Amino acid sequence: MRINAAMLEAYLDRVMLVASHRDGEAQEIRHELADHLYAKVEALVAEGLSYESAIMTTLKESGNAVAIGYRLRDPWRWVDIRTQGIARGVIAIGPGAIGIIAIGGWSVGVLALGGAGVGVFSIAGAALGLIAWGGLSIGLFATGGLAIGLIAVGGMAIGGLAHGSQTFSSPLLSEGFLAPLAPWVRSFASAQPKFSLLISLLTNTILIPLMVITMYLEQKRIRLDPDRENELWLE
Amino acid sequence: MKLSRKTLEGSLETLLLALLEEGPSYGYEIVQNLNARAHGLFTTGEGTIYPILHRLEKQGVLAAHWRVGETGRKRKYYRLSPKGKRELSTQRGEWNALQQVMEACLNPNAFKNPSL
Repeated sequence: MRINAAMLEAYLDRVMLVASHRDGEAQEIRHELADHLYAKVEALVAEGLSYESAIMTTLKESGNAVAIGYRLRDPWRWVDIRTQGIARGVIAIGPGAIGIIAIGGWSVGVLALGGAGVGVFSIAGAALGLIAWGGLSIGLFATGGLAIGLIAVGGMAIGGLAHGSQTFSSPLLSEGFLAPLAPWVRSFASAQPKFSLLISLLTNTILIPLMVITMYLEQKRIRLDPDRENELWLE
Repeated sequence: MKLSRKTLEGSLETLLLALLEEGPSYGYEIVQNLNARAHGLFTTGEGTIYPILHRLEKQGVLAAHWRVGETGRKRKYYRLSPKGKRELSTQRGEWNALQQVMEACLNPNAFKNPSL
């Protein structure tokens, strides 16, 4: 193993990955931590340690990168919109999103919308939830192209009570305690195209404006950042 | 003897405020200062002071500014804000009171304080 400054940078990468701050803020924190690490290495070398030993001692005494990263995280926000990293907030929008309402490439929330979603209500390409709606949906109530659930309605439905073009269901459940739900499931299945339209409309009505707002906010932030940086660096 | 993490918990903030009362300082210098005064009674991960400093800054207890250090690197200096001075005064009062109670309970024979 080669011991060099790259190890300090790797340590900083790890802290910053967990801390998950926005660009400008992340840069500030990284500068500050880097100053500490390099100052310490310089001091140890001045005390007579070899450069390699100084790096190892510095890393050892700096503390656990993951723990520090977690402590550096922002408190929970009401609204967190990001184009990079993971958004966390009551309403979270980002490539990854964790929130009450989470919208993202992947999302975890009470209402999770996106490419892959996990939530109480999950509407996603791949959806996992109590109520899951998506291309692939897995849940207590799952509906979509391929639906797997206690109650499953879809192109291909696999579950306790399944309804669809191709179904795999358990007679024990579908003729057992789920039997009273069968008429409701049938009527849901016949109305599903209408529901799908409604869901598409709702999600698009939410997603498209949010995407536009996100892009606008990000552009605004990027434009402001250079000024903010000068303000911080120059004294 | 070394102080346990449990004992230290909650006191680190007061220690940082007290050190910054002496003048503006930056993370590395604060840690060095703290270690010099701790005389090995406790060690804390050096990076762990930053989350505390950042929280205090967000709360307005500390003010911070950047300037270029002697190494040529940009360095973040912290100082007590007026709110921080009040906070330190409160914490100092609480700490002194707690110290008296601890003394009175842990060393009852050696401690006689008429005010308690």
